[in-house]
Amino acid sequence: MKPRILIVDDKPENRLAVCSILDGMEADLVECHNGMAALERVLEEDFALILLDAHMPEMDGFEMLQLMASVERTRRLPIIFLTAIHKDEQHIHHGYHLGAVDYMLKPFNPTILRGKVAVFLDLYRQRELIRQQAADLERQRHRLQLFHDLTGRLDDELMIFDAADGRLLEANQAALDRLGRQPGNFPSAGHIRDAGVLTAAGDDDWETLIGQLRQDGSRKVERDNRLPGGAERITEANLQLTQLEGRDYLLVVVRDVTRRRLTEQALQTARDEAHAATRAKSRFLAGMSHEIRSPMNAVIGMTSLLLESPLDAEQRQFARMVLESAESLLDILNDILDFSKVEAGKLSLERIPFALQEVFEKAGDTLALQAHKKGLELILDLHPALPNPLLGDPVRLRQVIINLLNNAIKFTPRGDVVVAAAPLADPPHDDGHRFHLHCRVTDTGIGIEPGNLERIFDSFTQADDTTSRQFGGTGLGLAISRELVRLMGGRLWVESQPGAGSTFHITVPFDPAPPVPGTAPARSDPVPWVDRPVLLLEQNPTARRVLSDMLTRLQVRVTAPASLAEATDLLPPPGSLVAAPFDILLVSFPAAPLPDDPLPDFLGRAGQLALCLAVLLPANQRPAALPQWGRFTPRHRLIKPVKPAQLEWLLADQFAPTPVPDRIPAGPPVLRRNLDAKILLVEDDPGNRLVATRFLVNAGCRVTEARDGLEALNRLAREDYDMVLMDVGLPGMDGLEALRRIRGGELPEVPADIPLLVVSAQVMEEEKKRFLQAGADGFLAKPYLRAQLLGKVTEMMDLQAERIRQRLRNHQPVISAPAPARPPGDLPTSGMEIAAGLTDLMAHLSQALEQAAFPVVEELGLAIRQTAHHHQADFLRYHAFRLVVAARSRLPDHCREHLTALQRELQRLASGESPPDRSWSPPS
Amino acid sequence: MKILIVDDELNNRLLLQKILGRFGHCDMVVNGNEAVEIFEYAQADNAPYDLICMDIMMPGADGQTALRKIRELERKLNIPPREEAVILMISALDSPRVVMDSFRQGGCTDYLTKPITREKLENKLREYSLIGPTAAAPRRDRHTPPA
Repeated sequence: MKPRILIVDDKPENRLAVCSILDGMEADLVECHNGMAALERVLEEDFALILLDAHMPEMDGFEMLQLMASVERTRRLPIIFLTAIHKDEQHIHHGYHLGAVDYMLKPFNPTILRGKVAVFLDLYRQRELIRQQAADLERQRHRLQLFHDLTGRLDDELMIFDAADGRLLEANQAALDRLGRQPGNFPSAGHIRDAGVLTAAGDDDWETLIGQLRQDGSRKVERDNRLPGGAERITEANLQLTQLEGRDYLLVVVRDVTRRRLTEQALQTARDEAHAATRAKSRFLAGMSHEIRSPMNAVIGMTSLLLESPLDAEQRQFARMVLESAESLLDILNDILDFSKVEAGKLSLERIPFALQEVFEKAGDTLALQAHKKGLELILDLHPALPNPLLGDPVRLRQVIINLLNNAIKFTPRGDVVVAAAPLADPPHDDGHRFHLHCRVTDTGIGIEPGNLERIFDSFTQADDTTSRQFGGTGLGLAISRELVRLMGGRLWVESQPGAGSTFHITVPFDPAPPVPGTAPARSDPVPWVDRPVLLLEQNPTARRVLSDMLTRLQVRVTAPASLAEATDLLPPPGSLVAAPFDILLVSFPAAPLPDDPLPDFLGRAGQLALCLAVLLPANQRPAALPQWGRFTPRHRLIKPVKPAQLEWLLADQFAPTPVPDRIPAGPPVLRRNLDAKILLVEDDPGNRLVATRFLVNAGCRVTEARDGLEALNRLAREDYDMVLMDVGLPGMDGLEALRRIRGGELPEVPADIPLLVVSAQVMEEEKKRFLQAGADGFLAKPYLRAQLLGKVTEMMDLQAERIRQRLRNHQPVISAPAPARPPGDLPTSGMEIAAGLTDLMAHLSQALEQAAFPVVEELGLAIRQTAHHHQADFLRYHAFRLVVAARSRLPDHCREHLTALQRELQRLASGESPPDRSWSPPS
Repeated sequence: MKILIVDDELNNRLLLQKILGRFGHCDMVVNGNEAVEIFEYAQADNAPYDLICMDIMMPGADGQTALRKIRELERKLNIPPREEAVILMISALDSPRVVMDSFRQGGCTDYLTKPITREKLENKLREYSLIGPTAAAPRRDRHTPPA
């Protein structure tokens, strides 16, 4: 703000004159035309200077001066009198006396007036400056006081030291209290060495500390200061250098961290204890797994053996109950172990290539017996477009499906359980090439109340307590399943209508596995059974639809009447000469036959319907128990749930053309029952494996099965085979790779020239050429007939015979070196002493053996073995151990034999004869 | 067929003996050390075991160590692979894959998980052609000395 000058004159022309003289100075000019007005203004406002006309009407300058002097606010205002009249000394003195500081007589010299005004303005500015500084100082003092109060109340100690010499300069109350000093005596308050903030060792070197601080900026020092009472007190001092106007200061904050440290220690201890507990839990569970399973092993095994022995009906029932209980106990144990793994986050999933379809088929096969025993249909409804192979954990996926199936079967008293697997209808479209599976397990069971839909997934919970009493189980299956699905990145939920049944849904995304080289997606060549008429009799509507679809995809013409009445309409009129309208009649036997099952009656009349009868049987029905319908006996028996592969084999068996004659070497091979070949069959598909094995074993071959290339190589390395029969589309190491390895002679134990027949669904000529070039001796297209297979195998056997003859011609006998023999070590004790020491034991031994006390024989034998071991009497030890083993097997003759040998050996030792000549080396 | 049963529990030994007894003579030992020792004696007597069934977890020397030592011995004695003993490891563990991997390296022929049943065990014997398809009698006796 500019300084202001008040100009007081009653005459406007005078005011104007003064204003014009002062114009241009750094000040605002304020005019007043009389004393009263001026007085009012000076009481209200700040002015740097007043130019006051002495002679004015009403209140003149002197009076106004007088009044101003009586008021504190205006007393020190500098005033310059401007006067023309009172030129005498007395007036001037009067004015000075009243407080005017200068005097100017009119007419005045403008330069002098300006000069005087300038001096006063300058004075005013200085005064203002000083006033401001004083106000600032006051504010600062105020703030300092507040800070001081604040630091005084802190529990943390604050200290400032002179970095040059370590003198304490400032400290707050907390620091002073601890140091036992009064405020204000800092110059003598002491040195940082005595302030208890440095650690006892090393840091006392003041210069080094400062040097380090200059480098690092700050430093923390923790020390344990025992209080006089002995209580622990841990402090943490934070040391920091700061520079102020060229001087270094050391700022120190000391904080009591006792509590924090103790809490941390407690936390650490708690964590260690928790870890130890977890480890103990894991160990306990691993131990439990072993400790419970071992005795369970004996229980289950012995009970199975018991069931094989002659028992009366009641005993048999008891034994079966023991077996079933033991098995369910084992299931519960497995559930609990799985669950604890889930809980501990220990459960990790595999990521290997697998076939979805197989997972479902295996799960279905596993539970078919259980479902069919209960009279429930179990139907596998697998979408034909399930991709293959995928990456994932097939074992765990199967576990989930088995859990859901188990659950469905358990809670369904009658009806059916359907497992459907299909691509998810609306997969997330930003998910690229991932396959989203949607699996549904639907039952016609008791259902779940809406309020319990989520609860059933809680561990150890079933829908309600009565349920668990009625149906049993740990209630862990669904919890484990949901967690497994979650780990797979999917979702498991349930929809249900109480009384009508439930549907459990799973959606899981899978990455596709890289395609296995050598596998073609689907066979595209025409099959021999295209459009052949097949009649399907299946009373369960869902199963009927699924089977019809399967058969349609296999390209036959399916007729599937919904009832027996409808089927009866298809019968040709009695006595008609019309040929059978169907090639195959497929009849499904329900898991729960009706009391007056019209099916056998119908079948009795259906002989003229079809050329061939095939029956689909529940897993619990023995084929032998089937009634016979005269000549019309089933040619094929398929166990439900039916899989496409089963139907395809059936069709292939029924319709495949007679083999082209030139592909069969000599004579009808199907008649060569004694095809005595030892064959390694490499095939991953269980259905195909079964068929091939059956063909081969029936023809007299010995078959070892391998599921992939690696397993095949392992088998080959371990045993000799006459030939290998290998499917080329295998998971893991595929057939082509295995073939190359065998032919490459990479594995010393595997004969590189073993006859190898490749089986493949790929019948393209170049494919076939590829295998033959890689070294296959023969090629057989799938599906094949028994005759085709046996023809090829015969070819291979001839080839093998030729190769063996070849090898024999080039044979160089190799005599294997005998096992290295090592004489027994020198005896440190004389044989006599050993023999004497064992006299008593030997006597007891003979006696125990006479009484057939085998455990005693075992004990004594072990004692002698121990002694022999100690004295390095190796032959003695040998016979003693032999005796022990014979005693364990409860073989008295063997025991006696070894006892005699033992006695002889002791006699030999006592007489000091040389050891018998035997070539074996005792274990080290 | 000569069979060696290695298990620390009497009941499990007896179970295995009951199942295997009809196929040949069974010796029983209770830990890995004994297994190695008796195996070596049998080699020295020129009457080696055709089949060894060994529990994996046993106090003292466990099955894995014994397995390794037995395979080492066979190599030292220059026994050709087709005459090596078939060694079935028996496990109570529930992660067969892990077990399988670790024991393949140790050289076991195969493994079985508890509970052991006649069917399971006989299937394995059949798989390794130790018994014929109908399981009545040993299919072959690999160590019968030539007449």
